[in-house]
Amino acid sequence: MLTAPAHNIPSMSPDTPLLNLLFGKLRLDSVPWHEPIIMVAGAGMVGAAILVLGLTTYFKKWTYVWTEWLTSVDHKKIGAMYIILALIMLLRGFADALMMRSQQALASAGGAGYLPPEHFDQIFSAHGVIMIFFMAMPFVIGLMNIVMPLQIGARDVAFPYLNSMSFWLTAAGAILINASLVIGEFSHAGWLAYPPLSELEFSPGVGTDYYIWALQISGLGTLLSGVNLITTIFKMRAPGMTMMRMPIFTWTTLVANMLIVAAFPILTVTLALLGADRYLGMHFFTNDGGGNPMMYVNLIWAWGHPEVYILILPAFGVFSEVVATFSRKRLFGYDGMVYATFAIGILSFLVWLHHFFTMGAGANVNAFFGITTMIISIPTGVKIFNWLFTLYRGRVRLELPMLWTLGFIITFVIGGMTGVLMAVPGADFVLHNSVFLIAHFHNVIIGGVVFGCIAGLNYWFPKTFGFKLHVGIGKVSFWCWLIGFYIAFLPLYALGLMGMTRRLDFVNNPVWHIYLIVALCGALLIFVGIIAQIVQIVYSIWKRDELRDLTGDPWDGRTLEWATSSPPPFYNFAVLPKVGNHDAFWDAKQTGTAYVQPKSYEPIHMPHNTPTGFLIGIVSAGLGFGLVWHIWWMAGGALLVMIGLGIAHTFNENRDYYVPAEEVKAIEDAHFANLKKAGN
Amino acid sequence: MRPAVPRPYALVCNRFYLVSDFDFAAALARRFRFPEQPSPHSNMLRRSIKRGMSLLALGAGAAVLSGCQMVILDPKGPVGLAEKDLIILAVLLMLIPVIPVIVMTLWFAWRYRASNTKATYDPDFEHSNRIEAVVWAIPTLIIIALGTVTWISTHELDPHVKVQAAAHKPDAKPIEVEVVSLDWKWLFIYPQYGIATVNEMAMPVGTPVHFKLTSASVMNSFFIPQLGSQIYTMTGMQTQLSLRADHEGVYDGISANYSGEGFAGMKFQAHALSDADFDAWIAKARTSGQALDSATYLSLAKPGMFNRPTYFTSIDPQLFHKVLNGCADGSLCKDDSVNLARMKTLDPDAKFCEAPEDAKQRAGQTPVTQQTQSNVALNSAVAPKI
Repeated sequence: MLTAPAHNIPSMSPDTPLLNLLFGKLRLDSVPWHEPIIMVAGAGMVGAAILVLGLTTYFKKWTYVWTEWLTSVDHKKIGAMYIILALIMLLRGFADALMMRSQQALASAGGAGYLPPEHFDQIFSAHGVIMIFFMAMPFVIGLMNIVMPLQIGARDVAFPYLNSMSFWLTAAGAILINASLVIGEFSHAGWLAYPPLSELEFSPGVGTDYYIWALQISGLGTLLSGVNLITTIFKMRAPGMTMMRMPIFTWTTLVANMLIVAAFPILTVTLALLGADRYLGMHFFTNDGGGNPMMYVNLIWAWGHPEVYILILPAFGVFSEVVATFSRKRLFGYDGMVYATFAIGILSFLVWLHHFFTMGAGANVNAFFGITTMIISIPTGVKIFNWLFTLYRGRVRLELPMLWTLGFIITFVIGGMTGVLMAVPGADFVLHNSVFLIAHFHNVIIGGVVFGCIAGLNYWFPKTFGFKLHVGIGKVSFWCWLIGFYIAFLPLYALGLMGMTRRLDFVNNPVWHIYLIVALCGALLIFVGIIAQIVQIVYSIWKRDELRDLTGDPWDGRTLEWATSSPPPFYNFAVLPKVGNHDAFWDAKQTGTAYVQPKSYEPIHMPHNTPTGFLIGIVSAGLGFGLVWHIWWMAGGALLVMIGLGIAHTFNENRDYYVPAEEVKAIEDAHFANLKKAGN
Repeated sequence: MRPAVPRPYALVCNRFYLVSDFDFAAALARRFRFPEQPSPHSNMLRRSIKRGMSLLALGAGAAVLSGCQMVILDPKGPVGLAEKDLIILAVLLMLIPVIPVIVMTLWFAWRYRASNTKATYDPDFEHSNRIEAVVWAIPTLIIIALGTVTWISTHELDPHVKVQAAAHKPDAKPIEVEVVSLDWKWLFIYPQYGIATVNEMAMPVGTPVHFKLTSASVMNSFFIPQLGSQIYTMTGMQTQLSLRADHEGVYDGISANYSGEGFAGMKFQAHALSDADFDAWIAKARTSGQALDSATYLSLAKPGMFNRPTYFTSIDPQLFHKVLNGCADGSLCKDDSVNLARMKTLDPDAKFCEAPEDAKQRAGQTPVTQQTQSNVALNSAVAPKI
């Protein structure tokens, strides 16, 4: 009925059948050459890639990178790669955040700012997508990958090759997102791409297609990873480790992955239906032809709300481990923690409508979803009280992970409070979509997920790499993050109450100017915190000999991962531990059985590395790129190659091998020598 | 190529600056010169909430600084007032556990710091029925209380519930307003008065306003923060909302759901006027407005930003209905096509159900108009079979 908006006018390039066949919609002027910000960012990305590749070549490390990392099926290395991906994408997503904050600060005192609306719209869309899918998700999956198998006394995950493929599919999604910065455009329809705005009628460009395929490919990786980790927990626990003896982090991993397996197919189907609208002319969510955009909103949140708990539950697990370890005390209310985790997991599927109380549902429906949302705060509150009573009568060491945990508890209860406030439909009617909402979910995602991830990073870094992270720089990072968070988001709470809605590329009210300036300062302080984080890692690598952990147990830990050396040998456990309690390693230390070397070793059954996962992942980026630009030969070819690689892998009979007992003994002897050196 | 979009920022900003400035001063004047009218919402609860609110304001430094700029906490109508009270009540209820948790976190971390060897150390203290009963009971009780408040308030504030007229003018006839969100402007149709406006609306103080809302483009959210509840506008869907302004003033209205590149400028002014001023506003719209015929509507519906307030007369009384049914451009209305299809199911041989083009092709003559067609269908002998 209406003409399409003026933006995204197709390029003026020649449009011959041959060019269409070869390049689809892609033309030279698909690259926004005239946009200096994008060009500088793109040059930075390409420069960084060339630098990394050049250094690898210069130091002749290609064999090392290929055999030890790219083709590795070791859960610890895959987990580390997930976290490296997360940190890189954190920088990208945070650059977007700084651009948004500075645009709003500049464009609130009568000026126009420096970002035109169609660019600003892509930035906030990319910020949300990157931070959720390519920062938070890889970070928690990375932690789960590294830690969970160690905690249950397993030698790897159930399906090591699948694990590798999952990671590389996620990485392919990240590659597509980053490609969209320079080649074409990203979605301008927000991080959940609500139709009809995301339909062809209103988004004729490739932005939404980048969104769809990046999420489809990485979502597949996430789903497969979920299957993998659930199977690992169910089938590969050490002897004696019953379900109720699993560490809480493993429990939260289990529930989070159950949520992944239950929720991600909804995302896949929803995006597939949107894709069918865009690619096949269907009408699931269009304005015309019987489409119903409200269906999309329901479906995407039926995935989206469990997704929030997929992120926060593993963070809760991290805090549970950290609090017990650094209070030198058993976790208070273990059973309650388990039940609370399960309750949160189940309830997370019963609340999705609270994201759109203002859509016009009846009072009964709104009240039902409001109250179910509040009910989630009961098990969450129980968890917080349990952490508090773990501190109670403990011996609290304020090491870095503990600082992040205390910062989390205080910040998270404030975010939880504003969340429950917005669960009251009547309150949501005036707060919905305001920057109050923005402040709320950053309060729980930064204060909960990000603090949890960084606590986990500081906590398990020595386990993964063999040396601790520098404490002083870590504290700088912590205080910058914590104070920066409050300076950045308290003004947004106030602005929300002043009626400022989200996603404004310019702001009409000069009274808000000062608040936006303050918020920008907070964001800059967080940026200092992120830089400190990176400096902390780089400095610690430089000083790694001083920070070396010889014992494998730098924090006086309680769970099984601390029973291994740091970093653990590739087979994790030379002899599978016997478990009698959820603080298995603590008990072993108490009874004096922790550091007794067995007289002899058995050969250990381990998987071979395989490049298949890496290759399938990388080729899938080509599949996505071909689909985005309608380069059908590239999409079809990539799909065939992926299927071919998968089939070829099934003919690979040489998948596993036995580590000879002598090799195990040599590695273990070295570890026990280190222990002796450290005085154990 | 990305076309540059003209953006008259200075103009818009100045306009809104003046509005907020005026609003601020007027609100202050009203507050200090005239005692507040007793409203149906002022009761014991509200007074105690007010006391709590001053405490709250002390805690939130930003709130103290901004005062009346907090439009959500400075509502001008019963819906907004009830929502403000609800926000404050909910926050106070939740502070009951939140403040102790924050205090306990800091206190426990300090009291049981590793260097404080005087503190009790009980490494195996991991379970206490008493404590666990309490930690489950406290949040449960709070949520029972808040859940009850939620159930009641959600039904009271349901956007389908019609707001009553103010106590001092109980016979006021509600104003009907049909709202259409366009890219990126608001169209207000006043069917009772035969006028329509863009990016400006008005209502008499104390009189309920019943909104019917839809969208001719993407999803938006209709929101006048100082009057209360927002509601989505969606193509092909009709939502409804009922508001009332109890104080004269000009209130900012916005779209609260991102809708594309002109979203930030998709704003309107809501004037709450005395009855006489409202009549004058209607008269002004009638005399100064241009006719809103089909062509004018279609050109208005094209994407455009920063539209100035405009008035229209000679409204098609069916315009909202047509926008809702996707036929403002003259195509077949959805409701008609549904009715026709239903007829066809009941009587497959009925020829009057054909789409106009088909009928034209077959008969080689000009078809009857759609409106007539559906009337024929509905009035035909087949209809009673439904």
